[in-house]
Amino acid sequence: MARYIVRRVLSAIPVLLFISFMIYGILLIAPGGPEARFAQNPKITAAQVEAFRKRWGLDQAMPVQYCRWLGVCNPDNTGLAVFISDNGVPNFLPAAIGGGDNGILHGDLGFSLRDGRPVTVVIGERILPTLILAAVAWAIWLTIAILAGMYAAVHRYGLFDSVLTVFSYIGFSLPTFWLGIMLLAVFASGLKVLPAGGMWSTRDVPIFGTPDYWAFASAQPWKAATDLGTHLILPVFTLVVVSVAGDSRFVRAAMLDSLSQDYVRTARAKGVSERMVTMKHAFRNALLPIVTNVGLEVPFLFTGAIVTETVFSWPGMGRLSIEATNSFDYPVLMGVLLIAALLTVFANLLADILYAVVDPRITYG
Amino acid sequence: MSSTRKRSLGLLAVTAILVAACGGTTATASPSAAAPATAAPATAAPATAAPAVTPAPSASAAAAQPDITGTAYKPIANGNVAAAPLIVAEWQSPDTFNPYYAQANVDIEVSTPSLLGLINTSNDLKYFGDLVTDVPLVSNGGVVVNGAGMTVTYKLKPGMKWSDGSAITCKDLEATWKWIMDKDQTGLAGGVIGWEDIASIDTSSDTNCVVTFNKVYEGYLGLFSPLFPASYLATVPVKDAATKLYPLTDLKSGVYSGPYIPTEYKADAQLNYTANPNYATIHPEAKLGFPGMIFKLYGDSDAMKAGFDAGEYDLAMDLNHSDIPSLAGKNTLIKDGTTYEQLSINNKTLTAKFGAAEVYTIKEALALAINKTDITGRVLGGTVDPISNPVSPQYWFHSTVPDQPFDPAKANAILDAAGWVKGADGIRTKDGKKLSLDFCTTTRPYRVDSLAVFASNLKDIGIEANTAAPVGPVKSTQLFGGWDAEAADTPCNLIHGTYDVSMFAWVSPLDPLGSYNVYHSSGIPDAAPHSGQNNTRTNDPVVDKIWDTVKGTVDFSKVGAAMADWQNYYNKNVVEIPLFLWKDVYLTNPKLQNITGNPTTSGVLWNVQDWWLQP
Repeated sequence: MARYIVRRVLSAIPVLLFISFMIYGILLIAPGGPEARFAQNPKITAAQVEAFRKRWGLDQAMPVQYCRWLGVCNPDNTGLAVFISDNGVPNFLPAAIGGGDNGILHGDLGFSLRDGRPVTVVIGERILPTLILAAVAWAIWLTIAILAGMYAAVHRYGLFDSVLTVFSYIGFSLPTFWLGIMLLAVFASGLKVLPAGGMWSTRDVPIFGTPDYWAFASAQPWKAATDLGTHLILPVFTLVVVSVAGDSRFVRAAMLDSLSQDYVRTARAKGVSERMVTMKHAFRNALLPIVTNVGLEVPFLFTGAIVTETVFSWPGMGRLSIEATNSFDYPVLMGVLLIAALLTVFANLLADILYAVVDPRITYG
Repeated sequence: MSSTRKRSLGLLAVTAILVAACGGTTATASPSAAAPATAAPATAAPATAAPAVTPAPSASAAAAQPDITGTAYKPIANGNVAAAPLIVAEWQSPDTFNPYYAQANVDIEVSTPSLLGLINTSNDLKYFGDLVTDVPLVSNGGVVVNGAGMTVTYKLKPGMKWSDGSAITCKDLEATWKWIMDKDQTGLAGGVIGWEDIASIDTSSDTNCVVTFNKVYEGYLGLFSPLFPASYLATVPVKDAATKLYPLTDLKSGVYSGPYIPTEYKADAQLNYTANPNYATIHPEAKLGFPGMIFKLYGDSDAMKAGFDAGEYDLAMDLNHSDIPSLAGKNTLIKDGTTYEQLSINNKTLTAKFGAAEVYTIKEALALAINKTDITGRVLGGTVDPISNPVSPQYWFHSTVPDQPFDPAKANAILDAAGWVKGADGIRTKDGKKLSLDFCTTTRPYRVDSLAVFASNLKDIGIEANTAAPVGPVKSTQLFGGWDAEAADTPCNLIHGTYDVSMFAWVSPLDPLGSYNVYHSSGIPDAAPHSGQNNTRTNDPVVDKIWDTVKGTVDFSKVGAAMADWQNYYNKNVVEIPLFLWKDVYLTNPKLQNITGNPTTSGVLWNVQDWWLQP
């Protein structure tokens, strides 16, 4: 198993490199750019725009920019010397032994072109809000999807199965932004029972994540929890409605496939109870495709839901992504997309490992 | 009068971008007067065949100086100090706290409560001293013209202190000027216009700051908005200023002058302020109504509106006339803005298609055939009113011009007389040329709807309004895209002039000089550096003479007279077809006192130091 994991991790490196290069290239060849913000401002001269481009390294060719972002090239040097650090050794080597200190190889994701803050800081402050929202929503919709999918499969073509089918179509069809706005109109504007957005009550609670907030949460944990919970209701509901539809259909299909297998028929013939057949024989085997699907959802926990976070003013990764996209903030976008790629690769690895856990027939020699 | 916020005239242009960025692309920044004047390009369209209007010696030229400083603003005395902060809502997030780098309206809004300029603009559009005792004018001896140059004496109020307790002196003016002009400076939203004309600043006195200009610069009222502290500027290298001067990550490190100073920022969520302990040294008469204030940042305007119903804040900003139908039943403040929607008519393409002799005839027919009330009434539900003059009636240089009547019969007669004959399809032709015009706009729904109205109006007089792709509604980035950002043959691009008629919004600036580059022939963007915004390619010596008068004097009576000539010319020659003025719309707590609105870049927060909540 250990050898398998090491092999998979090593094979992931070129995959991630290729993905990062492709993403970087696509971002840079897309029309527009960070300097587009100056396009309609006649007070900004071409020289000023060029100075802006130079300051952020945007005047360099795409491979050079990528090389710098990667940390292989030294942004302070030119020509072949770009590969050499200020200390005279290859730039890609760790800073501790004289290498460079720029680029992701050295843990530096650069600076946001939007507000000049380090990308690690920009992303770091968004992860926890997104994790809270996504994890709560994920846990709820996964639980509902598994239970509903199993029940619908066991009672195929029954009333519940029909209702679930209809619900699934509706859930699939509902535009997230529309559902979100409708929920705001009813519960915030109309009934005034839930907040219209944000993650905390501006009037009563300090900014989330600050020392003041943690002091507040420590002093009044119940109030902090209920405040956070209140703000979670609408965005979580939105995510659950639109996500449970797909996952429940997936579970149902996997269960139906499993229930039609010979070993299930054999178990029933042997007089095993229906509950045992369902839970031990059918569901256990249906878990394989479900684990695969769930694994692919892991990155969502960190990258967030763009539309839901925007509609509900949730200060998470999804909203960061859309803001960065709108302002051509390449470093932040690269950071977000790289994290998504990284998580996707490793979530797949995790899913593969879990196969062996849920199915003893699978071994990795 | 107590005041606050400075709003920089110099940042007027920025406002455009922001409006575009905000509402989803709507208004374009009004260009600055100062764009480098380039010689009229050889490719510029010939002067239109409109009846020349030579600016007659205006009767107002010899009139007394216009009153540009006598504001009638009188705040209701503060009757309550709230225990909780004031909460204002926005649906966009700031990228910087430094207004000199502001590329969006929200960037200016967040700095308004914290950074003052020497001179500010009131809600009735009068200049007043924020950090100075008087607005320097020729008439009060504050401005002295010496040949080609001039000196301006800004008299600072005595005893003023920055938030860190240091004195506000003339050295701060000098430091701000040098910081702007530093060779390492990049990305200044307002460029160096006006600043580059300063030759020296006399700092021998702490409060009488004599600024010597190499040239006469009419926009001097907008400089030093805001003023930065010399001691703080010295702590950050200019090359790092974009990220380290007033950094969003550490706003407490900054030094401020306004009533509320920032303490903490959470991106896309919240910005906190506390009361400035030294604000009383600047405006001792002001009694702050709140212990602090908070910017609550929503993800979109719908969520922000819902938040008002939920009682989450006291004031919502960044709304306009298009939001009015969705605000029924809510407490709103609706004011006339200074952004106007217009039909821009391209002289260059019309000349190329039909010949110079036909241009004025077609423009006149268009103006008569477009039914503006169809747009304001049917398309926009009566939330705005039709206009005939793009200059805001609130501006001191506004001049009454004749209405542009809706008169399709007269339009038909004009075209008939010019030899344009209707064909079997109802569209006119002349010399084998079909009278078909390419109409462009953005994809905003009311603009798309307006195109259909224009097509219907024009069909009645035998003009075809072509709104089919690749013209018609296009992405705002395509319409407003810069010279380098869009290919020369991109349809519907303003700066490349690849349109016949285009509908979009523009900010009419309080500083007349701000429109110099939009109408003077030197602003035709076909010539390098392509920074002009004379998209209509207006190229008429009469027009140039008017704008050169505006540019070459600090005598506001002469500026006013020239602007009256301009508005007369604009109206008679159909330079553009102005449609309606936007509305500035706010959601307000009914108990909030002294909120007045302000259509300039000073914004609604211009007098936030006077706001208080009725118990």
